Amino acid sequence: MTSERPTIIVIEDESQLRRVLRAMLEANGFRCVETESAGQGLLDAETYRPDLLLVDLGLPDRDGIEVIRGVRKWSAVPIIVLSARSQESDKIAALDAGADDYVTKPFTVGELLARIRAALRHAAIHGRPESRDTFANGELRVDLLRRQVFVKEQEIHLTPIEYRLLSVLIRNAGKVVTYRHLLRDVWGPGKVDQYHHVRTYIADLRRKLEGDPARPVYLLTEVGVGYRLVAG
Amino acid sequence: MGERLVRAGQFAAQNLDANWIALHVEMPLTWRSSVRAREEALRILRLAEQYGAETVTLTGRAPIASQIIEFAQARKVTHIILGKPLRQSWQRGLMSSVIDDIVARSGSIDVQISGDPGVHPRRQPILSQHALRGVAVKSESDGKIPPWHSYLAGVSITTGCTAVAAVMFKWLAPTNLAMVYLLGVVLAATRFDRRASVVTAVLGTLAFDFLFIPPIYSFAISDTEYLLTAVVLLTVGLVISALADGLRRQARVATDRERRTAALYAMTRKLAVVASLDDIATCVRAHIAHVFDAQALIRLKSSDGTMRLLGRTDDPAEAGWTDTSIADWVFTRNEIAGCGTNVLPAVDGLYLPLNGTRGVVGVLIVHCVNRRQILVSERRHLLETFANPIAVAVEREQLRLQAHDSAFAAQNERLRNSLLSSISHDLRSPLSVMGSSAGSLLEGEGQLPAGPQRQMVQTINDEALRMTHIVNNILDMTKLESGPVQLDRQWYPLEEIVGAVLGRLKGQLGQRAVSIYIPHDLPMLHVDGVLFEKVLINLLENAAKYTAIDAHINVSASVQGSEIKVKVMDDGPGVPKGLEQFIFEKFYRVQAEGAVAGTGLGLAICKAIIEAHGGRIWTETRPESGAVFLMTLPITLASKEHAEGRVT
Repeated sequence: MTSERPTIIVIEDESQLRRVLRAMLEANGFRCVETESAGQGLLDAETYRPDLLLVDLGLPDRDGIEVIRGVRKWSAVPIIVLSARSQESDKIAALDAGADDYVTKPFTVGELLARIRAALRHAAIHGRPESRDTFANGELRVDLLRRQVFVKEQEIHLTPIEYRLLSVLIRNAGKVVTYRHLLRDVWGPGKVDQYHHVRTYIADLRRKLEGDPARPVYLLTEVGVGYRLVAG
Repeated sequence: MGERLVRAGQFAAQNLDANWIALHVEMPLTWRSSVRAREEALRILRLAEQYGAETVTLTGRAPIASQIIEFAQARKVTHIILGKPLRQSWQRGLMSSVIDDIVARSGSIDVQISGDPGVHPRRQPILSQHALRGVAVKSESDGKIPPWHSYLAGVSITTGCTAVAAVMFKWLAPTNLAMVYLLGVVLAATRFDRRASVVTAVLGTLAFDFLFIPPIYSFAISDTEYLLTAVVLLTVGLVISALADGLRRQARVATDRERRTAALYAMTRKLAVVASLDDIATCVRAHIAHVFDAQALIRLKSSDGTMRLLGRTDDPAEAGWTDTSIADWVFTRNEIAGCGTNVLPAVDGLYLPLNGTRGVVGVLIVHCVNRRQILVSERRHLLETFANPIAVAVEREQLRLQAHDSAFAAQNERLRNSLLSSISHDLRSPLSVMGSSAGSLLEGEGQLPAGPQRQMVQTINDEALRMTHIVNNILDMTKLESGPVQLDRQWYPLEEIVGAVLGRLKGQLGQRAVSIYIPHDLPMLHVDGVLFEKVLINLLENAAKYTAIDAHINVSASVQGSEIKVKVMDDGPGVPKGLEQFIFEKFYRVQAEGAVAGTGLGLAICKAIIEAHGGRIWTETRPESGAVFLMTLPITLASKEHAEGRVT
């Protein structure tokens, strides 16, 4: 992160919403670049080298997912999707294309700002891999070097699969990780459509890590999309 | 008396679980004999009707026994109960012969003689009849005598006459002997048919000439007087044959017509009371089978333009002989077609247009088991007569359905209007609040004190959220209603969905204590996760909306038989009694314009979602206080496997 104000490119075709987003972002200390088409957005992303992109999925010239794919060819910059559609498949497609997070319209200001900050933080941490030897949030602590998991400083025994699952979530802490992503990283590419395996193991993991598995604090569910491990 | 006979009939019919018919054979004699006797007969018939009998009056024709048996066979009667005569001896003798005759000809029909007779026993045989089985009856075989039988009869009668004449030859003049032969012709004409009487007339004249007119043993006639006698004998004999035959034919036609009229009447009466198009088809099929010995089908023009078959056919092959294109042609052209007509005479069916008061309503198709039955033009005319009441009945049913549909459409229209007004109200009020707040903020820019300004901004924010909620609900409902719901079913632990919902509703639930009881071995749910989450969100949102801030909410689940039961309980005011069914209806709200904001769509959405999953949702009132919402989801075999399924 530069010492200047972080730059955010907003690719959104609705001018009213662009105006509101600009006002909101600038009031919160961000620099804002507005674009209304996918093509212009891709050019702007190369020109301005932003710290984050806010991409609408329904753009007049091309689908927002193509913007995500285009940017991902050369940059790992955080991308947050703005989606008017509540269709889970669109969100999953955007996440699988490389988006970091999504916000469904209509969203509240607080919600969007929280997601932007989390994404920026995650990107900053990701830039320093040496710092990732422990993960800690509240009473949960994971020693990634020794492969040990502690809750309230009590060591918890995890099966190899449970540990692999947890470590994938830790690597993406704060972001929504789709079922497909988890299956691919934990079980390998052969089982990418057997979502219920993921749910079964997540349930087990919750029983071990959460105080009340029906009221998870660390391992949150995005129904129909995937899971999010709350970043510390 | 006659009543006894009626009771005996009713009793027997009850025992046999059969329909029964009270038959009255009216002899032409009775017309003159006694008005009182006729009234008595009518009274008895009415009584029989009260006991559930069908009453039939036949005009008597000799021989009565065979007339009764014919009738019984035509109606597939299984039992005949007769009264025993109790009259003057000569009458008893006559009656006994009728009874004996009936017994002799009854064949497979059981005949029973009732102990105490009626006043007019012969006029009231009581017939019991098993329900129509739809198989046709042979009705045309009656009274037909094979030709050789007639010729034999003619020869025998002539021989008899010759024998009598030979005896009388000694005392009477030959001219008088001609009368004996005439008597023979009359006998042959009345007891047999025309062939027999013509044979008798011709042979008789020849025998008379040969044996009794001089010169005897020669056909030559010497005396002109005898020539005249012979010619008169032949002529009168032939005339008698012709007349008797004409009379007999008339009688047969009359009986036939009577039977058909009765059948037509019976069908019309049945058609008047049937309640659906399918029943019309069944009724018509049974009656046509009975009268014409033929299968019948009705085709109607359906909305997509094809000729739809009316009613169910038990036998799929039965529909095979009908041709929809011919039916269509008949329907459009309003002309008769098919077997025995000028149009397509070679096909198997006869296609008759059904003419209602407003044009053709359908096509009656009759398949002739016996082609000759339909080819006789009298029969075809009769069939056309049958088509009229059928057309009227079909038209009546169609009009009734139309009226029903339009009433339904009107009701739908009313519902839609109320929905529209409800939606427009729900959308307009937040809009106007937002508009006026934003307007006053703009106008009083910089001059408004901080407190009210903030309040207005807060109002705009709240109303925007409320409107978002309403629009989302309406969109969800529209999506659920716009056709079969596409479920993205996957395996979810209930716990996970409940957890996600509680996370989402953290703000709305606030201080309310939510307790959860989900057994660890509960099978996974095979549901569309997003939709099922919506159900729980709506139920818990409702619980939050209608209860005090310190209320208790309980979510629990259990396995009950082949279902998973999920229960959401609260200790709020509960659902008012009597409204339990209504709250799941669209736009229904317990309080029309209440303190609680909402669209009245939440529970309707829940219901649509749960039903799309093959489950049920309902509410119960807790004995203490508070609302209980219950839903069930079927457990599939696979969900049990998934409950334990682990992949390593």
